[in-house]
Amino acid sequence: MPGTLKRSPLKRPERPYIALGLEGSANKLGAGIIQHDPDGSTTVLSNIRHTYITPPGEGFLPQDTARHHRQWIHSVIKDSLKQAGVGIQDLDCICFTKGPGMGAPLQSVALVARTLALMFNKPLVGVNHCVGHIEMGRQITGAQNPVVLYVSGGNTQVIAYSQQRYRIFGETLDIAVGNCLDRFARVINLSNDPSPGYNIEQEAKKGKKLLPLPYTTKGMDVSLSGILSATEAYTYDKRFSQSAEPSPENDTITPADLCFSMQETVFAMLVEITERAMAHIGSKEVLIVGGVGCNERLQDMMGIMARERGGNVFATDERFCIDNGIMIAQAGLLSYRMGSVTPLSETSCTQRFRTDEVHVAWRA
Amino acid sequence: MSEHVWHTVAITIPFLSEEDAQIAKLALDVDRELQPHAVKRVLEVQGNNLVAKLSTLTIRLARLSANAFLENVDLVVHTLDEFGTR
Amino acid sequence: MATASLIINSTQISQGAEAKVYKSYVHTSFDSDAKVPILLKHRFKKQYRHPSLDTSLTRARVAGEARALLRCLRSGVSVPGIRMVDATESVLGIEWIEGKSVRMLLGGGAEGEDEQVLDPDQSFDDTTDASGESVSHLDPLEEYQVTIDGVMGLIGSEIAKMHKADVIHGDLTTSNMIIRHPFAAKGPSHTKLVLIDFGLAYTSSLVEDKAVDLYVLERAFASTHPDSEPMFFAVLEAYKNGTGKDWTAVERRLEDVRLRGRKRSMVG
Repeated sequence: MPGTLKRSPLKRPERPYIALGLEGSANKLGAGIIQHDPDGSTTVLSNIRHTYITPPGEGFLPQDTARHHRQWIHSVIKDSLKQAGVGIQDLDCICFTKGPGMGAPLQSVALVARTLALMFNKPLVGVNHCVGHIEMGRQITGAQNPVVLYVSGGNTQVIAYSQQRYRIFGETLDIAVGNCLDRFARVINLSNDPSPGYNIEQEAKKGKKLLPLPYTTKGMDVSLSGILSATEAYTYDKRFSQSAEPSPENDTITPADLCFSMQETVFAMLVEITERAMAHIGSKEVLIVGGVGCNERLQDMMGIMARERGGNVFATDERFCIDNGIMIAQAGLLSYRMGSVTPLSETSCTQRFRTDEVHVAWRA
Repeated sequence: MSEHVWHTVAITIPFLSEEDAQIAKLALDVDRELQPHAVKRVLEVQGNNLVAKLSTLTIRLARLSANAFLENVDLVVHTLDEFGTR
Repeated sequence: MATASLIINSTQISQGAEAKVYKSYVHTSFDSDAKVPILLKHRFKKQYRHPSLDTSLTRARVAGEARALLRCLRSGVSVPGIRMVDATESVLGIEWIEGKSVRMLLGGGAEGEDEQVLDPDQSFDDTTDASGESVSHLDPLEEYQVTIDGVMGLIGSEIAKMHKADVIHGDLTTSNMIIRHPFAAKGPSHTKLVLIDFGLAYTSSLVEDKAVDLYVLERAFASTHPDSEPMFFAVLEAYKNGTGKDWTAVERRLEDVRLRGRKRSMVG
């Protein structure tokens, strides 16, 4: 069916535009440079990341993370410029994450962005981290108007675009899915390298048993804290063994079984609320973004669901789904091309910055 | 405790040029103090120097805010060094 | 088996998130040839879910939906009547309601409507289909003989009745409420608004659960119908009148739940 026709408000650039994006809202520090060309194409010129990795059993604290970012930011930016083959004077704008995220790390990165902007007399564009993920995901996958599942350490949201906003249809009522997985990884002492979530995924592949866990979807919302405590409770169970081989034959509970059960249950809930949003708004495309979006089991499950509905799943690999600078450059440059810059006095960061607060001027 | 007694710390940081000191002032001035009722911060450029005056209600806050401020100055100075054209 | 053949002889009308929905015809009694339409909800196997998780969830939901509907019917909440339950085949048969969802009435867009975005250089004429697409311009509100305020009032009072019966819907959206077509409403005793889709419903007397139920609806309004605040306010007004003294506690908790949503730290 032809449906509604809308004209894109974003004009093709009359010359190439280049933007630097800086991201540091959590433990990943990133700098990326993107180029938008007159023919409508977009090129990633560079995408550099440096991750603050804590010892097993430990999470990352704001002050330590900020210290990491301050220590590495100059070399990360230099690498991104070098790889892109451009100088700061060539940039059209400098984009940085305005929020949401951890206060101190956000502030450190924004301070560097401001200093560079003042030194080279470049405009600044403050970017919503979540919108960055969505725009980069759309750009890389070519998904036009998908339902977006945004899953990371701090966020779990089902989002769909309507009338120049990314509207939140469903979200977690308590903790984020990445937080749930990371915290459980700490309970069973998995390494944080390259990320606790990655190690949970590998461990889950060895799991043999599905243990009952609370399954809590409320409409398009989910609740995850109950699953975390229930999974943790199994580690105090008499049947639990930290070192046993997973086996379907006996009743021993292994860390792999718990990772498997947690993933199967949590992801089934996420796919279910995504499907509910798709049915509700009548979309056939799903885009998964955010760090947990790299998880192949989640991508598989989402793919099966989407195909059952005659649709498609779009996902990106770790270069783009894990926090990065290029997504900030992409969303920032779209906004800049619509004539939006952030005045210096408004470049402070905000830990809470909801996805639906952003006016998405560049979409019809 | 009817009258507030303010503790003051003055910090002078020399830059290579007045322009650099001005950049530092503008970049640093954007972020407000987290407890504006208990910590006041005034930044000024005097020649090549950035002069910060911190007034706080407790010694602890004086130490914390001076520390945080210096960490930020350090980051700005580094950025000027790393990317400056001189 | 009988259920399976019933489905084969039905027409699928939609695929919701939970189930495939069919329209089927059954005899009203043994000695009559008259057939009436019913709606069949088949919770098919979700391939993405682990089989044992899927089986237990599906079973619980078919039974849960039937139980919630029964409880509503006994308490006079306007919901579809139950016609059949087949737990082994995961099929629920309910009364066929002729009407339109509130979402459609409010112009929340048709499900499955595609939007095409044009390049700024392209002209509208380039892509306009020759077939044209002439949409009926009859105002649905007029056709259904209702006003927006009236519908909001009905929503609030039906939810209030449901919560008084300690039924929590679990998935309140404007898609899950139907306004009966005026031709199908038999007499004034028939409430115009029918709550449907009790697949996630459960029984609870907790204020928290009722508040979250309302919060889910508030969010559905906000995300589907821009500038819906006055509409949801009218829903709450009617809900308040329907719940009486219980309202204060629910109102306070709803405020808490909203804050929880907004204040959650969103790191990463």
